[in-house]
Amino acid sequence: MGLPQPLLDALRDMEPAERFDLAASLQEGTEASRRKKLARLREIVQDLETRPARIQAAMNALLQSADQEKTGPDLDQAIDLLFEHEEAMRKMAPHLEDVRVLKARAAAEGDPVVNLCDRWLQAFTAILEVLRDLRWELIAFRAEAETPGDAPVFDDAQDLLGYLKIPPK
Amino acid sequence: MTGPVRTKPSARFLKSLAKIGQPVASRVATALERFHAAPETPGLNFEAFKNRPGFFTIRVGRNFRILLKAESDEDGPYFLLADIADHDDTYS
Repeated sequence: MGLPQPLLDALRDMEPAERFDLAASLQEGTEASRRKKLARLREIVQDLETRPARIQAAMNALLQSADQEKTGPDLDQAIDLLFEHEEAMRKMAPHLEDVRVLKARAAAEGDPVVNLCDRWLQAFTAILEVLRDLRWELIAFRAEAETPGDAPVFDDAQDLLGYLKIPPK
Repeated sequence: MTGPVRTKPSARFLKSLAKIGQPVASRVATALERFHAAPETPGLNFEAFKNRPGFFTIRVGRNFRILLKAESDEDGPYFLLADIADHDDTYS
């Protein structure tokens, strides 16, 4: 059993929205081209705002199917996939700062684009959170099903660190 | 919490720890030492995992968490170190 198509779809077609350079696009061009870019931006923000619910729904379906079918989905693959997307979005952190600067300037100038910037930032953060939290749900789900292995129980931290081959602090 | 804290690393935890590698190892050591000494130590953020009874997490630096599962054997309760993974706390 592979990953559910809705999850793959929700993650795969996120790329164009992720890569749209909001700050740069609004700082360049004529008034007409700016209006056009604003319209495009509204579409992108609306799309971003639907993502957390779409990803959540796809993940719920994944967890349900794992509960019903004892063979379960490929959890390792799903966890890795969510982390890859989270990392890819995280790399845009400097870009987020550009949007915050743009938002501050728009607010000072009374430009209504401030609202769009806000929505973009909130949507972006919400996606990062949902990717992180759902990945952790899958990690816990996997931990419930897995056998713990045959390591001993330690009541001394130094003995544990020795077993883990981690030098103590 | 009463009595000494006992922990057992799971096979998954060992695998994930090896994957994460040495740069995080010293932070893992600090977190586990603190957890054994006093799980409620501020900064460890020892807390129940949402919607999964018996599961808890502790923080390892700002970017990782250890997943714990409450278990018991003939000597009493212990925590299974179920997994360790990236958990960025800076989003919100």
